[in-house]
Amino acid sequence: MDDHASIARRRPARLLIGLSVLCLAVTVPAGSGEGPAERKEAVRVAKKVEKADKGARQTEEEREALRRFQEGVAEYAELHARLVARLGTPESVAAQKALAHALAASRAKARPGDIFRPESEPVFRRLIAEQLEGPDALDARRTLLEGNPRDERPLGSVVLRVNGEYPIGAPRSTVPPSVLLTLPPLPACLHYRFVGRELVLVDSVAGLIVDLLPAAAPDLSVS
Amino acid sequence: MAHAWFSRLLVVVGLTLCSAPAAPPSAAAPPVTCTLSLPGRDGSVRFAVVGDIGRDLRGRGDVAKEVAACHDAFRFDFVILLGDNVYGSDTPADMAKKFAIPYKPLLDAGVVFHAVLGNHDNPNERFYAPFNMGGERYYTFRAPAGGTAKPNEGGVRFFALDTGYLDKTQLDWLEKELKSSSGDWKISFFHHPLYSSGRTHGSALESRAVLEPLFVKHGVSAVFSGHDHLYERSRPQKGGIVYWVSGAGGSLRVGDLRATDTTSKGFDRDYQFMIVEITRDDLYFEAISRTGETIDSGVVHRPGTPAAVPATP
Repeated sequence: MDDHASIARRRPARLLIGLSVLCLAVTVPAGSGEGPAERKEAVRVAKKVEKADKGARQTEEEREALRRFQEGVAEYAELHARLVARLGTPESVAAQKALAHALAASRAKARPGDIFRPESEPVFRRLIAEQLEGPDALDARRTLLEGNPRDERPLGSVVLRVNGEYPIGAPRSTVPPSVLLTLPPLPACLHYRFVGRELVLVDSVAGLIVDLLPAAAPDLSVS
Repeated sequence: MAHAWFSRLLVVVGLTLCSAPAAPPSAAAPPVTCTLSLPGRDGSVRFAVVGDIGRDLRGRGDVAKEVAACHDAFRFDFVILLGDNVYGSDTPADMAKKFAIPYKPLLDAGVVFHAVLGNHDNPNERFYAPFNMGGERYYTFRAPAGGTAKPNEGGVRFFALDTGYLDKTQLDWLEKELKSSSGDWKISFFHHPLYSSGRTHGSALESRAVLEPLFVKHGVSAVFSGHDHLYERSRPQKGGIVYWVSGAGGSLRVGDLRATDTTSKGFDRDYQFMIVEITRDDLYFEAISRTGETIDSGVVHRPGTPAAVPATP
């Protein structure tokens, strides 16, 4: 049987343990080191990425929608190459702006959905959701928020408009490898980027917004 | 009651420990001196590692002065920049103010910089001549000839990656380059750390999932990253690879390190950078604070080679 004295002796020790737990709970949020929990998460993430690398299952309709998306991409890449050949390699800021201006002028009538065609929208949303939803996707969601202009300290707001400029001062979202392995590949002149949950097709040299897909990503909460 | 008083004391102490902000680095300009204990062997490959120089004016300037002081004491040939090199606007005037002026003494001395992109960098920084990226988001180069860099083959080869956009094209390129490289040392550097105990970001697990198997398979020995604004050296991981986070070259998060069982050494009290020397199968490193203090040093052996000197744990 415990007497009062021994209980009194144990209380501070229990309090100390409780405080330690509280300290850990208070001071260990998102970023975490390689403890047992991270090791387990790393194994889950590796399996998830391996699966993504093997490619997602697609119906015939979805394949057709993505084929048409890639036709639009190829058409844009051709225009980009043609203008670079005419204007020269855009190594300076002035040359990059000139290229952006020429691209926008050539696509003056471009509208959202010209490349992310309506029939491809649900395919993109599904492919992205498969990589960003669920407990195994915590690292992917966290990654996507890093540099995401809607999450980072505002260094330059991004106005989402086809043929609009992706501001030089604005950060760029890191795109998780699993998402890039799943989505249709792009030529070097184009990148997928996220601004909030919106998927944006950005000209990686001219800094021009080429097309956008609203609400492409699911809820990006990491809590 | 005595135990009640003691319990209250514990609560106060505990909460203080939980919530006390870490002391910021001194505002006074640090003395610019540099004393290194690297071996300085003839023909060795010598370089500096500086990460995340882009944000704080004071930190960037102080670190640049200290790196230059270390170059006076120990001639190195090049610097690798670990991303987030320039925040915000990057007009020619901005690039001068944010990079070329603070690092002028090194540029004037012929030191070559090799940069990678971070999430705050404009991808077109790859065209900025002093960053020597050749217009590419990812690239490879051999350390300058001499010493461990043999005339045609072997030596030290670096693989600079863009971890903000690790697409299949880049991963295929990396595998091809790693496979065809006959470098004695293969070293990779990029922005997002595969192993980090930083609270703010931590380890990039998806990037680790795609990169680590390639590094292990093709004999990469050392990896340098930034992103978390602190210093950390990992214990050797799979394949004996040592991972460094050296991300406080101009941005700092005091108290952000939560050392874990992969941490061999960490530092999060002041800005920092590294100086590295490679001689045959040994990589000597020294991490230096803004004030010139050595915060970590040691030697790493190239995995699979006989140890000439004891490796640092």
